[in-house]
Amino acid sequence: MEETQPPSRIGVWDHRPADDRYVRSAGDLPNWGDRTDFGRRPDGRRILLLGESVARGLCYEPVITPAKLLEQALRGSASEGIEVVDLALSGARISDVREVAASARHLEPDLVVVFAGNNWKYELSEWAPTEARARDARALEGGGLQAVLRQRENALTELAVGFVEQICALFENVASVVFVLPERNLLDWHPAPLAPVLGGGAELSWCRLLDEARAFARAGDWDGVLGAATALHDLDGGLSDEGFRLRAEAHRFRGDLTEALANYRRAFDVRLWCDGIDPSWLPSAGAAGARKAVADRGAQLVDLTTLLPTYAASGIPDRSLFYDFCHLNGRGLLLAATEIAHGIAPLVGVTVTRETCAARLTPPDPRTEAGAAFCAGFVNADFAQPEETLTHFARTAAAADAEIVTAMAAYCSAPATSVPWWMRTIEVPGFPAAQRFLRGIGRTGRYVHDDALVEAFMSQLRTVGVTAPAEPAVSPERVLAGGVRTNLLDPIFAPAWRPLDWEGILPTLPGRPTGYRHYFRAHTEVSTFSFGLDAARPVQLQIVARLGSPGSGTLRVRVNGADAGDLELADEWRPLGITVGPPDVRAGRNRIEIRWCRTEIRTPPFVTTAHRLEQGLGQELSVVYGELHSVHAWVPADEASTADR
Amino acid sequence: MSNVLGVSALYHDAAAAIMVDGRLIAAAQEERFSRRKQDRTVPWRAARACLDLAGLTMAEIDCLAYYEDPAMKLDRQMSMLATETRPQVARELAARIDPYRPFRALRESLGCDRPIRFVPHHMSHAASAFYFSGFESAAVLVLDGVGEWSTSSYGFGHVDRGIDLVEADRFPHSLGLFYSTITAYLGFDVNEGEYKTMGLAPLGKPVLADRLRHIIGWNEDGDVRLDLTYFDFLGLRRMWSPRLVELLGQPPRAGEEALTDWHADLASSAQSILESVVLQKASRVRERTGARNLCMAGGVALNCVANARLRQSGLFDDIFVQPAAGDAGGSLGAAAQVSRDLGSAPPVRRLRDVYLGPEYSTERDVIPVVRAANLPFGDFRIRPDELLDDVVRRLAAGQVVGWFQGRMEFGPRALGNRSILADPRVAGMRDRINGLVKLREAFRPFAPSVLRSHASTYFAGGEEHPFMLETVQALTDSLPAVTHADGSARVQTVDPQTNPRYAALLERFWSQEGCAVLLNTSFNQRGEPIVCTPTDALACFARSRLDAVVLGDVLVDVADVPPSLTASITARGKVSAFSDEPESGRALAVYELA
Repeated sequence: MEETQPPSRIGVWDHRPADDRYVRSAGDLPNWGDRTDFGRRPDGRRILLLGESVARGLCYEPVITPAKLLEQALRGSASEGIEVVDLALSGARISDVREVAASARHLEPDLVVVFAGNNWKYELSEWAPTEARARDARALEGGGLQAVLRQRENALTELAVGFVEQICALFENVASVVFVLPERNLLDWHPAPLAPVLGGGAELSWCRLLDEARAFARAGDWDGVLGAATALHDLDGGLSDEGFRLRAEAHRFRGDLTEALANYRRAFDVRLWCDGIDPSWLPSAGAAGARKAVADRGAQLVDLTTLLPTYAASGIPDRSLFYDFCHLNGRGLLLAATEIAHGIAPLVGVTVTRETCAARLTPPDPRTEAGAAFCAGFVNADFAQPEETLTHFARTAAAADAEIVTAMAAYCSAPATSVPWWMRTIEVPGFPAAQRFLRGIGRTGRYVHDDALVEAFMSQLRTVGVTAPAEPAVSPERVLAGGVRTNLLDPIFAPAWRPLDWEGILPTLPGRPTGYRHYFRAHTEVSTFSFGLDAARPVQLQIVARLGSPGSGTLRVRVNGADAGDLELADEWRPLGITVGPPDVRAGRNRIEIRWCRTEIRTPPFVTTAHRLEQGLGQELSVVYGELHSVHAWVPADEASTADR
Repeated sequence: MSNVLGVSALYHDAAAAIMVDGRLIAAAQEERFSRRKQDRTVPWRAARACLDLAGLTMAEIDCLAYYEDPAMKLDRQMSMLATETRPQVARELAARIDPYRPFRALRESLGCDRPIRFVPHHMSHAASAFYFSGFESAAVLVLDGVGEWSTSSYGFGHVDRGIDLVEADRFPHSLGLFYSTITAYLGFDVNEGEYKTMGLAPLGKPVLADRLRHIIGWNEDGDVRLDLTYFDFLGLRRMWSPRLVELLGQPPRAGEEALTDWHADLASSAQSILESVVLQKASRVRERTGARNLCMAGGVALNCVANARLRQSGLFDDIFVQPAAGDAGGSLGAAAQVSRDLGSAPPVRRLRDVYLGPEYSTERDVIPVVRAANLPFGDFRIRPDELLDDVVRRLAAGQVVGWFQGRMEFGPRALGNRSILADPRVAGMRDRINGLVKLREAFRPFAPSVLRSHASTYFAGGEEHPFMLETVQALTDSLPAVTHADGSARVQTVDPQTNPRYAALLERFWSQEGCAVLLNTSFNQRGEPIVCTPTDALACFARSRLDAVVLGDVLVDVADVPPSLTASITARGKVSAFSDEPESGRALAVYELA
């Protein structure tokens, strides 16, 4: 390698010329590893680990990280020391990894492991440059959404190829490079299904077919499911993730795991057309591009998409390996580390078998496992995963270490306020991961899913005998105050007039409203809101809604499952005023369900949508069932409780 | 019956205001919510705050009033484009032309599906001044940088007949742009640093005024004409041309470069020209309209030294300057004008206060925030007198206290509801506050708040100044922290009827300390908008480490703020919201990413 001036900074580590070491910058830098310093020149053999949050071991770090596990696995076989320098960055973009790689060349590594890919798809949507949007727009004009999907798949393939080539070029004649392709939680992660804009009025037929397929699934009629899913895909050209998921379930229940796996994978892959924010994972097109480029460059590959499914309890990658959409749980981390160590061992001249790894790798201690499962509850709640999932993680956390209930209690009793994470100081000693998450998220009062999480935690608290309030858990701050109009679109519910904090609420809503329009757009047929009451008393609701897309339809409101009112939707905002009293409302949490019953949906011509897409004007590719400008609730002043006064 | 939502946006200082049946109910600037100074994006947060404060929903809005006419603006932009010969500049100018943007922003981003009326920019300013002046009839003078075409206008307003407005100056000839150019030359930011130029002026002498008269001339009507060879604001890069550098003989000041006497002389010269032109224009407006009262708006009307000179000139019996005279106030004027057009009588009472923004309850909003931050606090909910005693004790001991009460002010000034307070008698107080929170140029004075009943003891004039829009001479040298080098002060008179709690604090300070004046500066740090919510206030307090903060009925002492919290808040910076503009994208939470 050529002798050049060492870079002044690698990641968050600054060069200290006095001893030629890199020292971690002071400050709040939670997305990077905690290592305080490392020498520019290695003492023994050196492996660099680059990548994203999956390479950081999100929710287990800093206690357990893939870097530490790799070191454990390799050290026992090496005659001299092997160090793994953790340069992974949670939330890293391609350019971030490339930048770290460019500066890290000077660390004289023997081997570079790049564990990345989950964030690549954001380069095509959330982070897409103007030219990419223009390409999407042209594809949409020419061939509808299917063409957009193809376009993005091709773009992702190219992106992956380019990334692999750039990294390989950076380390050419410096070190060998191993790419690790991440796997995703195919079975237990359920993104909110979005209806694709199909044009020609096909959207309503699409909705009916989806309902039909779901009905077949509920009835266990797998032939019916396959038939309806096929019809669905005939109509949408294979865009519907829910169609593939239903197919996958049909195949799984029939015992055909190969077909099931392929369909589950496709269900995630086709989400690439969505222009809203989806959790991160590596679509197959990206994986395929990386595989090909790695082969072309003669680099090494550890392909977790082929290795991990064999370890899954169900045969399909599930929550026995993952705690959310792509992040590995303790077992998953160990297995991934095993496969990576096994793959890279020959390159550093050591012998590692799966058996030696099993013996050497220390699984997360119960405390860490409990903290991680606790954190998993937040991530799953935030993305509106089923309540059963939240309960599962609360139970898992408590089973690993009963003391985690202190963190649950701390969370449940923290005021649900708008205080941002950087102002929170909830202390949970002994659970570093939980501490980090509580500090990072705190109790933002994140909408209905936060209520669901609180309920899951409360349920666990009761199970272990910790005194907890009776059902349901409602923070006093979220109880409607007498005479105060509270906008339920507000993630904290109080004060009534506080403007919506879309930055906080955006990722929590199942409908994924766009950030460009500052009101709620329902991309799903049902929208749910909730409010708290200190006692069963009459409540006034005022809902302002409109169609949001041309056509016709009705909005139906149910409060705690009981019909409360309906409104004929129009092109302009219309108010619906409802008074709901006991027994339809009760003390504690009350749930409002708004069902969008569309009898006609007309979507704009693709040329119009394409123009808007090109201008970056918000989320336009999935059907809008309706829009809400505000959902106010209040207890009439004369009904106010003494507490309110 | 009419509910009108007024909006100003997409240039600088976006804001929303709401009028119900001709009554002003609420107004707020978007920057306070988005935490981006001078935020120009669609003011959806401010609009929602206004709707909620009015108890209305978007479905109940009859009309939306926008503070500018996009068609007229397009005309000006096309004209600029047509005469531009530099290809790169032409390309940039062309890229900025998007006459549908306001319509799209209001329809889609704000979600307004009601009729939209576009009110010409200067008419918005004029309406914002006249309809809230309390005058039955008055002359109107609008002075700013540029609207669509007009850069200054004058006219006559009558409660029954409305406002007749005549364009006096037309882009690019603009008194506001002249002053902004000098502001930029002095190294201050345009649209924000004009206050600094004004504050610097008394430290210099107008020895460069003769040279500046090469670049700006005016006739007997006060109509200005710029020699465009000295300017380059059409080129979108900087305000001045190399010729101005030659003329002035000194290069433009770089941002952090030390200020010299020459800079003060330049500021003084520009200020003297601005005052001369304003007086000339006002004089002619007086002659032409015959009106005995004057209303002013537009960014230039925030020049409180010029306002004071105008009042001292005796040209008018009374002068009303709209407190949010800049573009934010355009939302107010547009709403008032459209409200009138829809048949709602305009207000006939003078605007007494600008406490038009959101208010936060101690129980529901403040205490949960303080508790969430794990900070001990003094709870004075049932002991309001003790709170005043505590604050007075602290102020008298030289402490600097954040004061967060009631509804947020509309406009650029903190007037006792989002303020930082201190004892004005302490000589080093200016430096102390600058060190803690303002981090601003040492020459800039802080402003005093004085009980209205005691104003004449401390300050000349005897007029009411509820909005800090004019300077007056201090009659005492006992207030060094709020008195400028020339002995002037930008005073706020506080009336117990409009701000009872702040007045009570001043009264308590008077009764216990024998001083009816407090130093009042806005509750924010440099580069940060004035705080809006208890969270903003707590963050600013913890970041700057003021001695204490009072949030409603709650007091937090800095001794109880752990350094770790200060570090965490400081690391976060002052911006807590992300841009909602399509180009900028949204930052993703860590766990949304891998």
